[in-house]
Amino acid sequence: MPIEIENLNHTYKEGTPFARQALFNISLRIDDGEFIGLIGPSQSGKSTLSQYFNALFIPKSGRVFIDGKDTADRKTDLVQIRFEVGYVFQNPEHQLFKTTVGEDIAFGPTRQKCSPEEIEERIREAMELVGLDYETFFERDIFALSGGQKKRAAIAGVLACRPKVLILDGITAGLDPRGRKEILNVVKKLHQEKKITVILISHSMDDVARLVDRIITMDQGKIVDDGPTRKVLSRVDRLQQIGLEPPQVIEIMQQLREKGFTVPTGVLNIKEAVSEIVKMLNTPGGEQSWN
Amino acid sequence: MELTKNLTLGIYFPGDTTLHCLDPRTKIAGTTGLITLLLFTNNYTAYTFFAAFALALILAAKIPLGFALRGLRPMLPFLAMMWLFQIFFQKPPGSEIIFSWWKLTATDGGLHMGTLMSIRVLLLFLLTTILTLTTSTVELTDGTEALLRPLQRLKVPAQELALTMVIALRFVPTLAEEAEKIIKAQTARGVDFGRGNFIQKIAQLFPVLLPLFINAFRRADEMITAMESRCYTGGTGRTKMKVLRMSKNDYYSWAVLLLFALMQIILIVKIAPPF
Amino acid sequence: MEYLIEFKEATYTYKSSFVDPVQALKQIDLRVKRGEFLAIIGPNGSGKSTLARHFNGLLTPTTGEVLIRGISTASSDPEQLKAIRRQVGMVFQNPDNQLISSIVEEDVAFGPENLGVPPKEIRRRVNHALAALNIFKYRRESISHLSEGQKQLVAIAGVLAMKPDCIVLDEPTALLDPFGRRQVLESLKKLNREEGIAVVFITHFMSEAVHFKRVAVMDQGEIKSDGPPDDIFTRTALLKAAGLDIPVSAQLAEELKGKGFPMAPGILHVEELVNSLCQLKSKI
Repeated sequence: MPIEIENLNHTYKEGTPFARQALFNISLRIDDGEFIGLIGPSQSGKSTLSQYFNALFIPKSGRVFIDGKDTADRKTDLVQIRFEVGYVFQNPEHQLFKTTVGEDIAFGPTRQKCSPEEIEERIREAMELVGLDYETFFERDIFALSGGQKKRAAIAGVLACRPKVLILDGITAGLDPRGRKEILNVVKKLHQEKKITVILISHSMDDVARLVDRIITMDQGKIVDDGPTRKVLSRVDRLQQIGLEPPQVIEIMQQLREKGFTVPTGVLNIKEAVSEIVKMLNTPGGEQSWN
Repeated sequence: MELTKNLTLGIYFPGDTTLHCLDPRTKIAGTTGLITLLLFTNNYTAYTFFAAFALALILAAKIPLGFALRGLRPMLPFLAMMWLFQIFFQKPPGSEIIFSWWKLTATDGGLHMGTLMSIRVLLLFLLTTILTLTTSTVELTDGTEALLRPLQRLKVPAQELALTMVIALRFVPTLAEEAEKIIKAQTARGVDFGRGNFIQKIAQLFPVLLPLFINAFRRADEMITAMESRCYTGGTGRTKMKVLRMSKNDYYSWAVLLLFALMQIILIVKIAPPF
Repeated sequence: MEYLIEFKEATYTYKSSFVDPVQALKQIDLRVKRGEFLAIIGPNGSGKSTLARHFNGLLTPTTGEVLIRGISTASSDPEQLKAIRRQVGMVFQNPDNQLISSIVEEDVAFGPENLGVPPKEIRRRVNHALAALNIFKYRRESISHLSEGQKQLVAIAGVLAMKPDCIVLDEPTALLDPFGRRQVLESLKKLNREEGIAVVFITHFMSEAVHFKRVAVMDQGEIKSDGPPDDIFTRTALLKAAGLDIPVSAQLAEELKGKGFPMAPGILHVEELVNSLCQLKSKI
């Protein structure tokens, strides 16, 4: 289910004194099975752009094709597209609207006119995928959930529609380190086991860098960089220019290089960093200009 | 999908025109006076004159005309319904039947009443919009409070009323934005807003209003905590950063307003209503 | 010396008719001096927000007491409570829910207006606060047109205009992007340095806590550890138990130490790690 964007522009409050252009001539292609981090400071246009991925916005300038279908075409079934491209919003409370977890997850499949057995099966599957125990949580009141559990319930509600693409906006916002780790593990599993295309929208590099294969960075409505994770992350100055903090391991490696050590820049986690530093320390004269 | 786009109520349009700089008491009392006048206006000539005056105010405030009028758009469906209702159900004495359809009959008197009423509502909304676009919420409250102060002796809590108003207006854009987010989040889950019959459309609103209200209560709760933390203990003992003072421009404005009111009253009295 | 803020064996229990009482704070002993720069770090549900609400008497302890310059927050005198809230300003997580007015300068004036400060003095304080936070040019701007980070600066300015001795911030950066976070943190450093205002900063971001001169770790309603950051963040076991991150540099240094490299003690920041590695390399 590829997503293709061609020369897309977007202006908020168009035709009013408060008009603000949020996207400038964006072109982009997302293929099946990709794992993407869409990163930028707030107001960079990343959320606006992603709302074109599931036809919440319909282009007025430029074109958007989802699975080859033009979303501006009147004949395109937008509701079907929204089932296939699931979108989880930053605030799960906006998205959960039934009383209990089970009822809420059932909402999508019911709209898809699934049989009761199928709905039941999908609820079980979705809850298992996000790590909410069926027996414990099926009848749990939405309001009795913790922040992290609400986020999972919101993801489960989208997963029950069996999407091929999953967009997750600010999935770690407001969670503490433990909660962040848990939810990101869920996302990783979804991509690996279910082969779902995942697009993570975030302004935090640290969360995303460890997971995704491709990073798209945005600033002021334009795409600044787009490429494999290691490559994008190694361009530290470009990240800093748009106010994003590169993951700390990258910064450490960068500073070591500036001191004249030969270490690679595209290092993603502590394990890799340790082994590179050990290699460097054990290589006699491994430095270039150290004096 | 952009709900907040047509929102003009509760939004301040920054500027430094005479209208922006007037004492808020002048603006609030003036608007109240104009609205009262509007309620007595009952013929097309007087309404045209009134509309011209409102237009002049918009131009004087340097508000783009399209923007000011855009705020009226969400009202149109309601107005249309009211208009039809008046046409078919209002039968002032002496009016003639224009046409009948099924069990309904439309009269020319009803048509006039409906039209006049629609114009009245539109102008009323426009006046309020001009006031809120040129007056910041705090000025609005300061003004209202100052005007209500004489009533404090009658135990009217002027300060508290005024502050409630500030906060209510302050939250209009926030809540509109939130409603938009909720609608989007639910559209993304396969709710098809705006489709179906009237009852289905009403039913679609419930899942939007529920989280909106719950969040509004939470916001209110946090707001109260924040106000307490900033030493708010009610109206007594409060001072104001801005002291209200009438300037020359305020007196000129009153002169213009009174002149307009006089002419308007003449138009109302001299010209008979169309029914 | 007299403490600015003093928690003496303070406990707090949430009581509700629906659920069993929950003890959110257990025997808290905490002292804050004038001009301190303190971060309180802990996972969600550790009781840090409950603790925050004790600093200015929004909550009062179930047992024990909290003193602000020697005056108990449980005091029933409204004037004293007002004095406490003027001295200890509070900033919350969501800027949208704490800004009262829709115009920047008018919101900043709200606090001093409540204190009955004369109009000219309010104007002076508002201008000073806006300048100190570098948002003077937005003074007439509508709050809904500001970024979340700027809104939070307005909230801090609103507190500053009350001339507090201490500002308590309850997860003020949780909803901000990295740029907004830096803005808030830099502003607080400046207020602490130039105006001598004590700052109590509550967060679960380790990367922010390392900027403070003193860090207290909260978990399960207790203060588990309290001291200078290089001491706290090298206690990896304690942090892991509380489910908190360990600064990446500290983690790397620890791993390298485990592999037999003699790393310098107390490494927290990237520069410290890099310098230590440089020294090490020059010795080999």
